[in-house]
Amino acid sequence: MRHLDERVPGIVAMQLGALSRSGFLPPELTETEVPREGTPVYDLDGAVLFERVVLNGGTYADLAVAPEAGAPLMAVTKGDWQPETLIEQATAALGKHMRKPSYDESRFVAYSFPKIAVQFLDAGQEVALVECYTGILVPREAADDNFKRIPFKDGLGKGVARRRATGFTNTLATVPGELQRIHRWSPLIRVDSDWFEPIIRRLEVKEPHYSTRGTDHAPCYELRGQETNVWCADASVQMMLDFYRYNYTQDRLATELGLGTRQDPNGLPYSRDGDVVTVLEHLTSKALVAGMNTTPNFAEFVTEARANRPVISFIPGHSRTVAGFVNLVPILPVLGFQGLLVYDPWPPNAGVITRWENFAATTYRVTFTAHVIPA
Amino acid sequence: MKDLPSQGQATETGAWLAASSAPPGARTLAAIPVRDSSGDVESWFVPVAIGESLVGYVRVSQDGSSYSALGQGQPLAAWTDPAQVRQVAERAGFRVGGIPFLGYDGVPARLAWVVPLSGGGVAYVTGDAVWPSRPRERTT
Repeated sequence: MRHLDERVPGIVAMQLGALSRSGFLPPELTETEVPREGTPVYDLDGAVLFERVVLNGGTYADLAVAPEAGAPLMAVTKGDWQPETLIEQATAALGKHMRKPSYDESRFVAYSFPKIAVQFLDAGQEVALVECYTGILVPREAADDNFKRIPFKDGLGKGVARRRATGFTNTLATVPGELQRIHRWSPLIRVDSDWFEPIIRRLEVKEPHYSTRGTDHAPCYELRGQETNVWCADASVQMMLDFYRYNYTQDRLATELGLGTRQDPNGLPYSRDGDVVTVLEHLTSKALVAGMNTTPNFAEFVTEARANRPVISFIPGHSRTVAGFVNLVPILPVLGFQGLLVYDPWPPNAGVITRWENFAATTYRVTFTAHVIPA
Repeated sequence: MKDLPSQGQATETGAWLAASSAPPGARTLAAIPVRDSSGDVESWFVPVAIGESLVGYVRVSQDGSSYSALGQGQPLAAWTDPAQVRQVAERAGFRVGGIPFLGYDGVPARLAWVVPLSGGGVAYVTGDAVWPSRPRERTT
């Protein structure tokens, strides 16, 4: 019996393709067909919650059946999904918990999503619920939060469940038509550029290069770890100045920024954010013109990265630099993503390069830009 | 906002993201919870290591995941083993009064092990760097 709405695999194929195309998922899923049915996984109320489908040997996805899931693609996971083996393991575990259990049906149940168990039933009544992978018996009532049974829909609350169901219904009603209109309705996961040309209005990825020519070598931007636990602004300024070939130590920059000494360091007070502008200009003898923006936005990061210029980015309590971005603009907003390439001086003496920081999920407090005055 | 993934999901997500982003030969370890000051799990930290060196990590949060490559490898145990973290803090002269946990200093971007001190307060440890907590209204 099929549980999935027939429109779900096509929508999921497009979502997975867009994510792979954009580098957010590995490319192995190319040309894989999203199955129309898989293993049904039930909610505790007996309704099918989702179907788990195997995409290829090492990846599976959970496709929503219940509208309260909110979106056709609930999850995609790297790993093996072998339901027969899990049933066998659960059956063996049941034999250890109960002597000669009697049942006529077994099925998978999300007893506390995403935790999965095998439910054994006799004439429709539960005999036992055995957690997958652990073989532990899930009690009907549990004081231990790890084994509490939480129905998926009840756990959402009525308001959230209603909103999610509405979103799910709207997606199914509108997305297939949009994709059919541009001849891109298919259960195959595609990642080739021709396929995505009419779907992704724009996919732009920019990382720092030696010049604004994309063919020049990259990267030409270096990460610097902060040399004390409070010198993030110091290290951020160092990264930016290094980019323009002004090499200063963090000790010297600390003096300029009033950040104390290595033995007695301090951070930059919020009230002195503007000192960054002063120092950038002073230490380059005003060869650099610096600016400060207290209302950072994605467009500014894009503009600076396109011009091959790093940006110092203050978030609440911390400073990093941003040297690139990815901007996926699809015809369907559900597929969109804006990310930043962050050169973060944290942790001390190391730093990290993060790709991609989700712009929509981060609070940006202040940005500092700098550019060379052309002749 | 989405729900925070489970530890198992975070570990799998980390392994998957690292497979396409980390250097060849790298492996991932089980996700470690990153806790806020109230003890709630804020996100997951999936270590990415080559040998006994931490070369990066995947941070898995409610809003998505990202891979971070460390500028310099760090001793793996100093980022994954509370006993090792405790030793680092004690070597720096702090009197440890509780079990260290992975958290952050002030803001989530400043990942650090949080070490409760016997006299109250906490110290922070990242690799071999140790410092006491201090009042914040600064960019650090």
